[in-house]
Amino acid sequence: MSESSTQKNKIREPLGDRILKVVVVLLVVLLTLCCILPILNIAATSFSSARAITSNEVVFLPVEFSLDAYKTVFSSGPLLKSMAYSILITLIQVALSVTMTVLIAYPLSETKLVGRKPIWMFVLFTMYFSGGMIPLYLLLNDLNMLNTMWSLILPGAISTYNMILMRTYFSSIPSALKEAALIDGADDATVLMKIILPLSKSMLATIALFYGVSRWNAVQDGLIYITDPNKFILQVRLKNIIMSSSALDEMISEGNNNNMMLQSDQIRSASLCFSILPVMLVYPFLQKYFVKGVMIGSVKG
Amino acid sequence: MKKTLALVLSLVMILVLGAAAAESPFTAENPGTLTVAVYDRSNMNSDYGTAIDNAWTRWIQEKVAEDLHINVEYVAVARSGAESTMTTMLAGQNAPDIIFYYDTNRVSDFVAQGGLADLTEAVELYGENLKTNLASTLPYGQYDGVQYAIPAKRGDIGHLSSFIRKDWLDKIGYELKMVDGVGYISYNDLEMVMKTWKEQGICEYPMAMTTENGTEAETMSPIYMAFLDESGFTDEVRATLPDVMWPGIKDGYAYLNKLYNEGLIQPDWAQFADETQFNNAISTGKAGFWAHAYWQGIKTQNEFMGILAQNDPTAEVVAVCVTNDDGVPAKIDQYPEYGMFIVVPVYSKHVNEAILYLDWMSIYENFEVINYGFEGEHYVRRADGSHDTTQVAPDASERISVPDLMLVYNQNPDSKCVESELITPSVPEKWQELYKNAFKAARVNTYKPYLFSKQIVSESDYSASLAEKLGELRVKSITCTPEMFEATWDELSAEYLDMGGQTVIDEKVSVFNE
Repeated sequence: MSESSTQKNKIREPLGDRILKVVVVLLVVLLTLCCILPILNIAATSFSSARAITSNEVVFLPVEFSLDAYKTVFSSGPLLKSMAYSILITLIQVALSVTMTVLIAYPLSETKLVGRKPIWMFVLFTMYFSGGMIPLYLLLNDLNMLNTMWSLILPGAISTYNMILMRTYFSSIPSALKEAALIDGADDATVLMKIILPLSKSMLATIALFYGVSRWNAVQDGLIYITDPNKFILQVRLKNIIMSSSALDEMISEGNNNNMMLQSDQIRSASLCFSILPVMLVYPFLQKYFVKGVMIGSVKG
Repeated sequence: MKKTLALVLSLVMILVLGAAAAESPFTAENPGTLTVAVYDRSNMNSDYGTAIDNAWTRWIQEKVAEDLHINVEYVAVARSGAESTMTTMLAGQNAPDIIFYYDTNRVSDFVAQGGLADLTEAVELYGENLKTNLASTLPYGQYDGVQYAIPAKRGDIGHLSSFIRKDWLDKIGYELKMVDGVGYISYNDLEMVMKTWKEQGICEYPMAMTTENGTEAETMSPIYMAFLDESGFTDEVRATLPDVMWPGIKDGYAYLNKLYNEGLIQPDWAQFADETQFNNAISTGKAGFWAHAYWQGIKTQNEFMGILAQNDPTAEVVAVCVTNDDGVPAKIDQYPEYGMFIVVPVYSKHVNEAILYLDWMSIYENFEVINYGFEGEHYVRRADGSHDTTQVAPDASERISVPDLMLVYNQNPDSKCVESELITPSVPEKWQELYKNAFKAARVNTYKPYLFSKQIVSESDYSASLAEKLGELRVKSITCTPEMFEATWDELSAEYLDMGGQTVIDEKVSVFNE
């Protein structure tokens, strides 16, 4: 029974609700720990000495603190170059992809578009079917895009999934706004630039984040399309560094090839931490958009 | 006039070089071109250069341009996943003229599909040095009499060795039989010794084991192969059956099962996908007996043997062979005498250049520069011809992964050199003797793996799932209770045969008997 808000009586929550709260909080804390603890372990490994690492003494805090690994990582020209190159590609990808996605999502959200259904089917088809790795490679080869950054940016420039999200968002903007602008003499381009886009800032930020993250994490295409070591993206370099000690079949096939240099655990963890840095710096600012983005496209009001 | 002059000059140059390099049809005015794949291990800093452009690649490019009039360019391929990358490039008509694979199944597959160039003529004309130096391995690269691949020559065929903590043996008063630096212990004695260690509290789980990827048996085969019944080990058996089906091996697994159930092996030994627990057990002094590739963990200070030396300076380790009751050491596998298979795509227009390049690589003097460096600067030549890299202490950063450029030899083709050059400056001093003895232990009693000259089609189809099932058989048969051993073994073997194992065996038998 609720009392008026002026009285200081506490409304007692039912016991079931409180237990549920405790359970949910516990679960979330556990999940968070599952995500954070491995990172802590890697960070601690990168600051510890080699002896402590192999003797399994490192858990969450550095043992026998040493900065050697980081000195090596930061003096490694290629790693820094790859980092800069990856950041550049990500920025270009985000700018290009967001522009192109807007340009296809907005017309498709207009019901009056001629040929809307066929175009829509055409684009949707690509979400389910793709030619495969080798045809794509042959295509890029014929277009002379191999070994350039465009082979990484253009094939993934429009993600159908993101395009659908954008289209849904654009459809939810009241058409009264657009019609009012059109009556006032604005053409479609002006409507898009001056009315629709300013209203879609959070959605644009979310889509930009999705594209940015997927480009940053992608490694498969970088492995296959780029053969010039100066143009290796960060993830490819990282894969090389990390796999160099644990790639068993390589070690077995090469045998006792005396000059094989194994990367120590220290260097591997330091490289990993180094590569997490840009993402960790950017995420706190874009976090709210990411949270919003999960709900985007769902029913409003 | 110009052409004959060029011919005369090139003949003179060849005579001056001591007739080492093959006669190249290319001249300074009409040079050949060649692209060669190189592994990029991401271990070079910007001072050194990159995998395709550093002091050593430039040396090779200069020399090859001088000797053969061929302009060589390198194409980097990231080492991890290199074989899939090269396959994609091959399919995309974009591969360098020279690519290479360790997986011979893939190569036979490509031959069957017509993706590789026929090298027979080029080797006849330009491969004099190849024919002499790689005489033992060239036949492996022939399919139906046609040379499709140049298999590299492997200098070090030794693979596995077992190791035991000698100081713990001394503690319990066990006298280990030693012959020429290598210990010999029968499997019954081994069991007794490990039980004694456990009872006396020296350690809890004396035997370190792991399955590395869930399918490999490197840490187990030196032990269970001691149970092999050599009379039933024919060539056909060796070629067609997986090792668990060889005569006597089931008893080997029964033995490991007994050890496991007596608490001599860590209960969760099979749950680690990589070797960190294995390395840890050795380096922190928790294990007293283990088996592994003889050269692992011992080459630098930071690997598990170096760490053991730091953690426990009193530790003493000796290389051993596990024997059966009659003292016959376990028959362990050796590496095949070939290394990587070097191939040329069928659409390449530079087959001649490729063979000339490989031929040039196989010349011993060139090999020496690439594998060791320059005499006096990077190594000192000993009286017996081997190379001592410990005397002249070069800056390690001067030579990074240079042998990757040397395609036709996997280490020095002369195994005597390999043996005397085993000790590099980075090997911990405490384990130098051990390393030399482990080298010997790896060769005491070995068998060669069999290579089919035709592709085993069903193997390419089933290999991944069969390897997994084998791994399951190995692990489950060891970790089940003794009463369940027979049932588990029979059940999983039957499953293995049902899911394609029998098809592969039948195909192998028919190809073997051709």
